[in-house]
Amino acid sequence: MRLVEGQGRTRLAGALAAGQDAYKFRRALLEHRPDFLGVLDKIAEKSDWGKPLGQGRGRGIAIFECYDTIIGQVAEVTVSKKGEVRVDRVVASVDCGHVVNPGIVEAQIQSGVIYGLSAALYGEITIKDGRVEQSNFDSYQVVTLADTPKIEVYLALSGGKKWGGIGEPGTASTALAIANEVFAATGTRVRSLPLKNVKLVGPA
Amino acid sequence: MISITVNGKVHRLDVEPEMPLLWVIRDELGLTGTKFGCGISMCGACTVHVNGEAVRSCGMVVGDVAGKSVTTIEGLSPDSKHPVQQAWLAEGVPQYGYCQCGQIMAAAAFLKEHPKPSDADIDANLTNICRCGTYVRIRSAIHRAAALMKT
Ligand code: FES
Ligand code: FES
Repeated sequence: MRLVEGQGRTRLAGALAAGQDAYKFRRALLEHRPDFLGVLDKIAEKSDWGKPLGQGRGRGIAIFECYDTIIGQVAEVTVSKKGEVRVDRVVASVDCGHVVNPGIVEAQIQSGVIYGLSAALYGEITIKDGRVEQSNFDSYQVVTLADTPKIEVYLALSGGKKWGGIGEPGTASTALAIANEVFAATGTRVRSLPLKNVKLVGPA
Repeated sequence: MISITVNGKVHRLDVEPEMPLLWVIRDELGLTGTKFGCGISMCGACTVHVNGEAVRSCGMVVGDVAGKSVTTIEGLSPDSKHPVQQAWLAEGVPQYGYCQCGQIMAAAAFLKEHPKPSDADIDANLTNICRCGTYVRIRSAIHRAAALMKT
């Protein structure tokens, strides 16, 4: 799986290399879109963006649109000395236009994040001699309660004529936020998934 | 003939002692609340209680349960009002639901050992897989059930 985060990835990498704040940079890029800004500002506020975390910890931010829904996530990660990644907290915000049942919207984002976390950390199908090597949960690891972060979901609805989807956005944006937070915590850019295959160096 | 007690009822079964308990429950007794997920004791969809303890019934043969008392999701509470079931409803835990009977049975047994669990206790002891990712609400429902049981 290749990671591509919407438009402007090259500019983004350049801006971050130049030490620009990841949230403020996105804000500048999205100035013309109040709906995106509503989501972006919400996750920045609720995640205490800019407040320093301890050593080996970092925050990653990602925002994008799919199924007519804008979703933003800030993920907080700890990278252990051995280079293992643990996602501690995810703050998500969605603009799906309108909401019928807020509880279901929240549940879909919570579980979408968890499904996305499985994919980002472990999900991998490999082929050997023409056959898929994974056949069951003993050879295909998935997230359990022990890996599950605290997940907060906030609505930032723009209303209008839009009725966005809510099933997939949580899943699709998780890997982006996590990969960005791994960069924040370790300085290593993640260019392929799953993370279990990426060699990371934690704090000394 | 093997004699086992399931949900308080004694059954005399003409089956091989090596038959997995899960097969007996689903195919011989027709109690289909208990699910087949992985068949290799990894996922917990088949969790039932044997003498009050949570076991994964796909990995246990019926011969080992002879004379013991088995409880399935159908027998957890006569009116579906076990505190764990009430908490599950209140928190809106299930999604597609395939794993949920196993989750509820695992949580009910866990709470007997840990009446006031911390998040860390829950994470360390409950290893049932939920592919839909309902874990956040499983955690809150377990805390809610623990509080219900105290009152
Ligand atoms: S079916 Fe028994 S543990 Fe998965
Ligand atoms: S609710 Fe679908 S697997 Fe748990």
